[in-house]
Amino acid sequence: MKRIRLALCLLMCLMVLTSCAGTPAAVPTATLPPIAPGPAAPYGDAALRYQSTVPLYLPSLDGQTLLAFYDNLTLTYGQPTAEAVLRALFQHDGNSRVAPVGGKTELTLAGADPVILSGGVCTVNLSASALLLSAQDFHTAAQAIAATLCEMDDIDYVNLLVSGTPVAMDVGGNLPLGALSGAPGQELTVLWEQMAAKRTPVGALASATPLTATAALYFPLADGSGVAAEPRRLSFAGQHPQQLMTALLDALSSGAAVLENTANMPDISSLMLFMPEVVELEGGGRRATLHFTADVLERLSASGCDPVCFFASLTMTLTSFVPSLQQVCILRGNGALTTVTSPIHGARLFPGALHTRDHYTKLVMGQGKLFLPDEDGLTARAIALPYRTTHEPRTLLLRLSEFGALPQGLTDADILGISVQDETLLINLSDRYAQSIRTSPGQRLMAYSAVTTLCDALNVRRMRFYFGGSAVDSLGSDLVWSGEFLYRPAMAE
Amino acid sequence: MRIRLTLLLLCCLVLTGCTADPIASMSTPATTNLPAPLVENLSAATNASVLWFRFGEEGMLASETRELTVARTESLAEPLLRTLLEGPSAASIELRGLFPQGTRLVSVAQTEDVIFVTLSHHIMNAYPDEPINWRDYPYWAVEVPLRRKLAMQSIAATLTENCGVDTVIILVADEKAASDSLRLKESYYTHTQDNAVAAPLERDESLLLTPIRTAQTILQCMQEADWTRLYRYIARTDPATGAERPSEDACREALSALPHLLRYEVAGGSVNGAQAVFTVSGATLTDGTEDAFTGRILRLTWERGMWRIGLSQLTEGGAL
Repeated sequence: MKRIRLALCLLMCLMVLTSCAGTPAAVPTATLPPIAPGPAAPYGDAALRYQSTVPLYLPSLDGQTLLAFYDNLTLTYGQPTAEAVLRALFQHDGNSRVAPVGGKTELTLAGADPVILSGGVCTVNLSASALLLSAQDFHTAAQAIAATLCEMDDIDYVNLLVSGTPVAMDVGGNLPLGALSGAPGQELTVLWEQMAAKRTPVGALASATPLTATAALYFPLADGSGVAAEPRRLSFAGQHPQQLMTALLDALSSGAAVLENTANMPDISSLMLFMPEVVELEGGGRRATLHFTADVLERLSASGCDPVCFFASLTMTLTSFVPSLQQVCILRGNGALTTVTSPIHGARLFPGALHTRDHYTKLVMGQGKLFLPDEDGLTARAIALPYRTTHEPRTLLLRLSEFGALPQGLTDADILGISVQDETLLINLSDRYAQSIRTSPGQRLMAYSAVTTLCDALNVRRMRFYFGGSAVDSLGSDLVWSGEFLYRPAMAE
Repeated sequence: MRIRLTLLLLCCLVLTGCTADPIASMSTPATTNLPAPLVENLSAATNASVLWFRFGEEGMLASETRELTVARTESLAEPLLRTLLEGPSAASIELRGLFPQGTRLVSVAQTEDVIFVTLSHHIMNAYPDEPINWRDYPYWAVEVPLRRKLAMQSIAATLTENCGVDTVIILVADEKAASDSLRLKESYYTHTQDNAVAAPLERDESLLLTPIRTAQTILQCMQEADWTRLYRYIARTDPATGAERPSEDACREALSALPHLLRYEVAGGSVNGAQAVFTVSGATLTDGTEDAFTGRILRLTWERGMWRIGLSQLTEGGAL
């Protein structure tokens, strides 16, 4: 009995003690942070501007070397930066260390397309004020321009023109400047002496003075869309314009060495009836005459070379190098070639059979890069694009659609807006195009094809998609379109 | 008879005034026996002094330490200035003299912390390699005034370094010039008709290749991509690797591949024998992107009379 009482007491004590615990401490519940709202969908392309610091090379006050200074410029994603950089270079007033480029002569760009970039060659067209400079001062300015532009990844050589024509470095007007590669850190006086040493000595003939220089050769592209430049170091037997032209045409005939997807170049000399001729024009400048066989167009078509691109190749190459060459007169058989017809470019008229750079500037192509889906992931593919659009996001998206990486039918109107915020590219596509994607297979590769292509072109690290102004989670597949896509170049390896 | 005697006396009196010049005293000073010197054969003292000369084609001065002989009868400033006018020693092949040929020291006078230096008129001469139309050439337009500025600064730096003076005033002993003052004129620097008196000279550290200034100059060359100039400051033997300095072209190629040095700041400056150490912070620029850095160490080494840097300091791991 006693034991039972004791057990009951113990049990009661235990029961009482169970209520001795204080109020249980509130344990915070682990939760995920609220989802930060993404940036608003862009409309239009105005928000593609950004600030960038670029090096500018200016001649030191004593004219001995080029010194780098830095300027903060407002640039636009996807647009060529060379023109903006050059304008900043020309606007630099100099300081206690450096003189302005051109000294007291104000340099400016000329024409509607003052800067053309193709195949690593940047052709810069200066206004006539550059002719006020002495040959040595012009050479110094050219070195400053070349050093500044060659800092950019996609520029290896700079070809300078003044009022659309190449400039001679000698009194006789025979020594071409040629394409320059940037030479920062080298003594300007040494570079000038090297150039001056190429001049025809007093009493000697230009035709007997050999020359080695870098020229920009423009080759027709296989698809007939235009021409692309390739820099090449050439040796010339003499400096007479006829010799320069002959060597350039021979170099063109040998075809491109580096460029891909170029048309097969015919042997140009076999298409010509006479050697190239050069005449001095009354108002200054020179005209070249190329006299082809009567069946030149047929032979070009037979060789698969677009005729418009072929003559663009000749004109652009010659007028990029031969000093003061303004026009190329094309004769065929007994007549002048005033019309050139091409299946791609239609009929082109050349009054007086005079072909100039202005006729062909729009045909100069740069190289864009698309990342197209294949069985293993993505494959990089170089394509020819007008030189101003090689990095332009709209153009690249449209091309991705044409190549089938994105669903067919994408139009410019379907791209509602593009912007870059915090190194993230934002693309706003239409609801109509969202439906096209919804009905298409392989959405993951489709998305990464666009992400890799655009991030590579614009040098950004992330990308977001919007459809009709909203971030859409799903378009009928397991891919979350509303998320942030990272640039993954490894997918293309 | 009285009258005759009176006339004779008068004649004698008159004739006494017929001498043309007053008769000089024919007396010669008495030869006195001078006391013998207390110390036979007064010996000159030698003094190790720092002199500043132009460093090659640079617009700066570098130092050279020389053992100068100073006679008991002259101040230290006199042999210092004579040596400065003669130019650097043959051992300092990278240093250049700064004064036109024929320039002589005329006199030196010191009053407390100001020293007056009188140079011969040759100081105003042109240097033999300067063209007459030097203003037409960008190089000479900078070089001609620079030479004169460096020449005067070499005097100021040398005297302030060794003679306990703060200010130097230059006088020019030009007897032919019609001037109310011997003081150096502004026209010496400007080559104009400016007859204003040039300001007294003070030490200008920005022109002296001291360790800190050398470090700043090296970084300025990096910032401006002035590889030709930077090459002069690359050590012949890299103290870190023991490698010989490569050719200028090879250096240029190696340095051109580096990111741009957008800005820099040099701090500290500890000189320990043949090494000087600085801390550098700043930012580099790669493809338009700035990368800030701090705490990079810049080590200079004393080589052939100059502070220099090993190429590996600039190009290898942890480089600027």
